[in-house]
Amino acid sequence: MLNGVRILDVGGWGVGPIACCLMGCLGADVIRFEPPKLDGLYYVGTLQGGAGTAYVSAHFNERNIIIDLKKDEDRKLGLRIAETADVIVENHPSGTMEKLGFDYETVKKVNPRIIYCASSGYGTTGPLAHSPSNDPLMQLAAGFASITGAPGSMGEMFRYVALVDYTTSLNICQAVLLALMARETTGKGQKIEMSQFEATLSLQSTRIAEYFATGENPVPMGSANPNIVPSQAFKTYDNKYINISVHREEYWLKLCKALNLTEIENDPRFATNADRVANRDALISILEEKIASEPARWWIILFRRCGVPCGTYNTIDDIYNDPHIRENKMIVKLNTPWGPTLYTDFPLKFSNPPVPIKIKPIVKPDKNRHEILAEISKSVKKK
Amino acid sequence: MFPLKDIKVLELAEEIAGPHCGMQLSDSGADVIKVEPLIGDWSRHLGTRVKGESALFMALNRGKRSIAVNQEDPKGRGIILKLAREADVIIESYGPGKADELGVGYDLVAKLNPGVVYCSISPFGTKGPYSKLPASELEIQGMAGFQWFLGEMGEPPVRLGPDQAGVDTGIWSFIGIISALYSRNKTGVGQNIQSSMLLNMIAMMVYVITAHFNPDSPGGFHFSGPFDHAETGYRTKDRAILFGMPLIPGKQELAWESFCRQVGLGDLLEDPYFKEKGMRMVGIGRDAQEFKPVIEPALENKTSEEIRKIVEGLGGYFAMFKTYEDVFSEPQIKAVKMVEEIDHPAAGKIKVTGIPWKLLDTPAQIKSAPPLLGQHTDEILRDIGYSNKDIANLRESKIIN
Repeated sequence: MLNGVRILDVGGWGVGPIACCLMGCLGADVIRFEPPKLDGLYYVGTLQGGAGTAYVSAHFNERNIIIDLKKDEDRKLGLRIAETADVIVENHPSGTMEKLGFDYETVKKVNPRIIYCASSGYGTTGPLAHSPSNDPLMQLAAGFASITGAPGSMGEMFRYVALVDYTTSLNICQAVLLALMARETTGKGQKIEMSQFEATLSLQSTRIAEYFATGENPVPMGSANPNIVPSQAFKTYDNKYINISVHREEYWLKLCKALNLTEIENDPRFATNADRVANRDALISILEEKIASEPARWWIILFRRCGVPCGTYNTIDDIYNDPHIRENKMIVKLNTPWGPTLYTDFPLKFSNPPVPIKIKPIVKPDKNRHEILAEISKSVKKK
Repeated sequence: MFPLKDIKVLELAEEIAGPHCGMQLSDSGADVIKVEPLIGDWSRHLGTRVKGESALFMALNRGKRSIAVNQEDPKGRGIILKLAREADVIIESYGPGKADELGVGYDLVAKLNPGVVYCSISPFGTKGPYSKLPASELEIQGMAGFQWFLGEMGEPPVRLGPDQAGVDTGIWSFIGIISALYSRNKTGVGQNIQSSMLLNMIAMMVYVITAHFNPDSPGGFHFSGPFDHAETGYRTKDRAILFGMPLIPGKQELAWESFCRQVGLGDLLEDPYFKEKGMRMVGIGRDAQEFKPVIEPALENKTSEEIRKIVEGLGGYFAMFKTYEDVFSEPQIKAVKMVEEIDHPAAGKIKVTGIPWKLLDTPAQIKSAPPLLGQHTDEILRDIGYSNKDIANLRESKIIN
């Protein structure tokens, strides 16, 4: 897909690197500039073989060269590599790259076709422009945590899955791909500015719409949905929980039939989704009582048989052992310099070429120095 | 210049992921035609209304043109197929096998239009035992393990408030589509992309899946996350908050003592364990839980603003669980242009969430208001060669609105 596109990952932690790695999965040649003391992610969170597991998981499909942009000699080498690149992605606090002399204006002088994506916490202007940001704090700052949580709570933070970070990475991919498309026509590169703040707001657009419409803050509802009833977790006979959603009208009759509850099927209080939202409590208590009468396994078998949207409440082990995840080979075991580990594979499936995209594990810091230097000197000779 | 100028998109999609993808393609300059059933898109019938218009629909469909067609009718299908022949991109989320039944599946369309980039969005993809099963946002969140990292062990599960699986699947699909268009510029051929909500969400679990394979110890937040308590911060009178003492030795002790006195916990400082450990045990993570039952009641009769003044006065850090009202009264919202106003033909002036990236030379732009049902039926049909008489006949036989 992106064969022939060279991307430099000069970012830190997860946001910039994951974006580059994903484009690496799509065929781009990704070169990571590793700081000599290694990225901060190497030292935090859970460790494996002494390395941060998040660091191990955030650098797939990349080649690695140690470059200290604070040293002039290394900065010059960096610029020589940048001459051969199509894209640079960085996610340091606003102003960092200018201080290092590796900002868009500097790189553009040696490579006018460069697409330079700068991703910050809160953007480049405004009172919060220089505020630090990370996944948990952004969940609080962008309202994300205030609409999540048990009913009656004042919000809850999503613990360490870093989906706000990852969504920002996906936004970077979108923007870089658009700039590559534009360059096909204009022949020119450009600068992209974006931020975790903007990504986290955009992610919530469906919920923000309710706020714009009513002026009222949405509140945490546990597993329930303000607009769809039923769509929530129910406790089963074996004290487990299963999720059921009637998010389209066709599923309502299927649910009533599966539960053998003809009395609610014909009850005008529950006839349409709007009726069910209006009579939420009455319906949910009927469903709760019924679903508490059999174990989770039975309901899953029955609802799948009847075409009712339902799902289990999975742990990491459940995910790893799930037959659907297995058949799609979504979790792959790969060897890394810090021992074998599990990666999640690239999730989209393309028909052309039909070969599955292969994820390649992290390499040792500086592993590709010699080959990268050789390629650079060759490309200089060509000129 | 828009990056996707001259790209024609046909949206055969409902729910959240497909429409979100189509909307972002429109913001990037593509001409997006949304095909709706005669009763209107799924989201037109859900949630809060503004002068009769669904807020959810308007959040997902700006910048598109709408054609309302009865696809159960062969003539209706003929219209869709004509549009499909001319499209550069098709977004389809009808569910497994349904597009083939309706005669607009990839294999058929690709025969007539080999350059088409056809993205099929579904809960589970086409391969594997769940491929034919239905699911919504909630089920995907549960199956991808989100609820393991939310709520309390043994208590009812909690979902993420935002429609994360839906919106992010829209974004993944967008990435697949643009990659395929970029590749088509070189090869001239299109392709089918399968975008599955569950697989997309599993991919995004990489940090915690890696952490759970072979960690050195049970420590570290990526491993311990599922076994920790709900991270609800500390309740105050008005908002939940997170805070911590400055991390500088010496300063930390003094700040902690002063903080305890100012919030009325001075007596507890006589307990050496609390005095020594407490300062490191406010904030997030498992350790923070130990003293939470003691500290929280002291904060509950103060406002978040009062606590902020105390903590920041001591050089500590403070963060608040901001509500939407807090967020949208921030001046930063203006600086990043994340609220845009649109004039809607029925709902009047409406606000929508802005565009999350800024390409400085080829910026994205909201092209037009979310369409009324079938607002562009006639002009779209005329564009593909239907005469006014054909259109009147189609309308009379209830094939279009």
